Amino acid sequence: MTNRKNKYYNENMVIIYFLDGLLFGGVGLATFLQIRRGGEFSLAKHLPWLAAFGFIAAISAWVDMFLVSETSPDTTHVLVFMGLIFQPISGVLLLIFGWQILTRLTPLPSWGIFVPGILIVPIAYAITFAATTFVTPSPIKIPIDIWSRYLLYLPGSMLAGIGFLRLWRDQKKAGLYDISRLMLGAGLAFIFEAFIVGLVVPAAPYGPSSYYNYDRTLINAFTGEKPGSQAVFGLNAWLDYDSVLAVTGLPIQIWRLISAAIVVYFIVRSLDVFEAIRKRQLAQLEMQRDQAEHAILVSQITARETAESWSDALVNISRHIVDMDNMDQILLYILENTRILLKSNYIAIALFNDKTELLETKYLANRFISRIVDPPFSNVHPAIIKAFHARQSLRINEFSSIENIESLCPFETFQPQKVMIIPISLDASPIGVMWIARESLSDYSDTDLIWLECMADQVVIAVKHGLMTAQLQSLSVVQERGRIAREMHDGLAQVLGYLNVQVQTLEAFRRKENWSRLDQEMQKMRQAIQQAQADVRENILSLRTTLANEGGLIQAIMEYLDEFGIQTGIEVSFDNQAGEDLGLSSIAEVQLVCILQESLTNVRKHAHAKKVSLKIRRHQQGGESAIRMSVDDDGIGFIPQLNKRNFGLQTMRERAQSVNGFLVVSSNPVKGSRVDCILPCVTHEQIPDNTYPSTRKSSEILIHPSLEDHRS
Amino acid sequence: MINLREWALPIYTILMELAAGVMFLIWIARSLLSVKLGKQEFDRAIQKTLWIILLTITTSLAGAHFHLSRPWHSFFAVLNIKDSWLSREILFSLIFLILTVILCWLQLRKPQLFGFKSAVGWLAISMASATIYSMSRIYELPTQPVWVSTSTISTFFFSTILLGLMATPALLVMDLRYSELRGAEHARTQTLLLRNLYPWLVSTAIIVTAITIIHGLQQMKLFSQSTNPIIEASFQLLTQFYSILLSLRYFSVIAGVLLMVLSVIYHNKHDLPYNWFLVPSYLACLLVMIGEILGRFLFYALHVRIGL
Repeated sequence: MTNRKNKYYNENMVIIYFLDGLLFGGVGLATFLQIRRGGEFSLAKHLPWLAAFGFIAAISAWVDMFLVSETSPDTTHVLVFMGLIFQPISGVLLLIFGWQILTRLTPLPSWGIFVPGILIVPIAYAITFAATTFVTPSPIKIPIDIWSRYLLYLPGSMLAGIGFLRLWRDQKKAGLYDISRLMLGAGLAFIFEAFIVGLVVPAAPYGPSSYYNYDRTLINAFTGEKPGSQAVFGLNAWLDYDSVLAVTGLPIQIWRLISAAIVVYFIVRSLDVFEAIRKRQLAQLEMQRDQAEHAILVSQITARETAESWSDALVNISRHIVDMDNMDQILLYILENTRILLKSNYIAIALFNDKTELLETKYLANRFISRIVDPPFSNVHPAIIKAFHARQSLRINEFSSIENIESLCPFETFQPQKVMIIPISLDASPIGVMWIARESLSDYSDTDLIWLECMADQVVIAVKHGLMTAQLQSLSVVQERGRIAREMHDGLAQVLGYLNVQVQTLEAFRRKENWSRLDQEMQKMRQAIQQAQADVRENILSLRTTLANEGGLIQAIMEYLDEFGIQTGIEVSFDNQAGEDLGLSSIAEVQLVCILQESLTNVRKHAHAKKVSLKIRRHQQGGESAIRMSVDDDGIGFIPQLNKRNFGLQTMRERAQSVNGFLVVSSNPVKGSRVDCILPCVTHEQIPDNTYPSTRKSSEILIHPSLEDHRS
Repeated sequence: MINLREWALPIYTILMELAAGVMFLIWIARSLLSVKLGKQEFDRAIQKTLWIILLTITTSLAGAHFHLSRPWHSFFAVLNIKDSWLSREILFSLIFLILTVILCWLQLRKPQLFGFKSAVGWLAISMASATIYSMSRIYELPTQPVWVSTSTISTFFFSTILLGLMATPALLVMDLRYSELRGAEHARTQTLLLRNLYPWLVSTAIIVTAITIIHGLQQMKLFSQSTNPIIEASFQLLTQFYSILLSLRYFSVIAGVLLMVLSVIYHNKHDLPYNWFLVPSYLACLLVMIGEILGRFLFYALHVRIGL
């Protein structure tokens, strides 16, 4: 029966070897194609060895196929030689693939370093033993076949099997069950392959598995023992080709074919995994790309919004400065905007007091309020003083080396976590410090520091403008005093000259004893003196008014009106509906007072009025406001072209225009005159267009609609 | 042709020589470098190497039993210590084993006893040397004329030193790599040890290999000139039947030492870390070991006197 089976299988061995080669060639081709497609799976790097093994194993199997078919002796020699070459080469490739699968795909434990060291002696002995068997009397093909299987196929398949099993464990842990099942199948298939291909070897006169199963007519080449003797330690041949056929009914070649088919199946299926992984990676990449694009867009928008916010803040600050607004208001505006833009809880400015030689906190802003510290707070934190003297910006993101952190933010209860301190210098001289603090744990970035320094520059500009404005105001006052002094001088000089002539005239009339003419001239003189006296009193009053009034503008105006009424006897009424703070710039306030003085002078000199009323109103239009001052009298009015007031009106108009305002003068010979002075407030509120035109020519005089109402 | 059962002898002799050679070289290095590198640090750096030496001795003694038909009777052999080199060999190898155990124990429990450990180590080396000497004297058998020569003794010692020279760097590099993976502090000491030791090991390996080859060739020349028919027959067997194995034996040793030399040159040229030596030193050690095992095989299989 066994012989019949042997004969049957021997006749069909060509087909078996052909299929064997086809399978290995197929796996080589499939692996090669996968290599060309690429992939990010960790197995991908080691596929070249698998592909090479597949191709060489296929060639080796087909060499065996040609050997079992009838060939000429020369061809047989060539085929045998090819078999001797390709079989160990395929074993080496499998060993390399197995080694890489085991050691490179998943990290080995650190003690694994010593395993090759421990195995060096058995490996050396195995190689040496293999070398010695080549001198035994057997065809060279047999030791090459046997030792290729023992030393290359067996360890290579075992390593590959263990490597795939470790991959199975890792993929299972990662939740990739489809891949893990394939890895398990591949691992078990390789271990089966190790047994079938690596452990079952042809008969030979040396162990370990094919003991005494060589041609039993010969003596054992090692021991010299005759066949039939017992093997060492009672081992008989149990794992050779004959015993496999006897036990299983199938020759070892079919088992190897089955083993190859199983390995190929799992390898090819594992390669399919690449496609799934590629799709997954592609989808992931697309998602990441979309997320990245969205993140870029969001960050661009955020950056643009931030830049716009800062630009708006800087533009508004510049506008306030240009409008010569109050310096304190500008600084508070800067502080509040900076605090909001830098997402902070607290910001303050301390300025250096030359008299006390101390830094004094004068301005601060927090989440609830921005205010002037009055009186200034001189207990400034040493870190701030240090930054001031060192003239160096400081960013504190960690406070381990700083004591008394709470005093960095006086009047606050929160604990600052991050602080920036910027020294402020004007014309290379330090004048103060600005610092900002936040409670959150996010650090101040380099960009934040740059922005804060930019704001510190705005503080410097605001302070400079404040100084210039004060100088301008002083200069205006000085100029006004000069003008008044000149007027007094000119007026008095004229009057004194007139009186001198009049005295001579009086003397002439006295000599002529023309007593009636004498009385007339004396009356004229009296009037002139009274006029001069009134002018001087008015000039003195003007001088006093243009001096800085501690009570403010409205108080100064009220005092002026009272004094005017006393001096002139004209009934004066004052109606202020704009509040104590008119919101005008300092220069505008000076000009307003001068226009008022000129108007009242005109009333006193020319109007012959009994009553004069002063009204101050505030107009709002489109977010901008203006102050409208109206001086009404019930005098005789005037005709502009014929009136000697023209030059004074021109002066008043120029004063108004110099502070971006305008003047409207209306007069009715019966009802009296009205002077309206409209000056813009610091917030640029426009006057309603239906009330006044936006521009006025210097010679233009309008009939004021409200005057029409007044007259009616 | 050697009986398969007799493969236990090459296993025993090679492993014992390996253990003795590594122990000898490590202890010389300890004497010369421990002050420079730090005594405690040096002992910590060679701790695993000592354990591997102990494991090697144990394996060799266990393997030696397989060549006896009744292994459990081996212990009675020590009773014949006055007359038998085999008894002396077993006794000395057992003492070597015990001293190595003591040394490993001292390293674990009493690391501060540097001087005492030094003494134990040198005693162990002397026992190892006695073992190798006894091992070689066993083969002074009147029935085996090719073995009866002082060359047998010298060959065994040359083999001991050569195996020690190749196995020591491989072990130290493996230990260094392990220490680096574990983040151990003594990795630095191991690196310094290798830096100091490696050039000397390579130079000495070249010299010993040259001496071994020259010695072997001299003996072959003596054999060729001998009139003793047994020696003549052995010489013919060696140069004809086992010529391939003989060539392979020398080729393997030379290839191993050459690989070591080239790896040192490459390492110095590219300024690589010392753990790079892992693969080259392992392969070099494997090649030399194959050559020495082949030489021992030929010694036993052909009853040729010198260590071919």
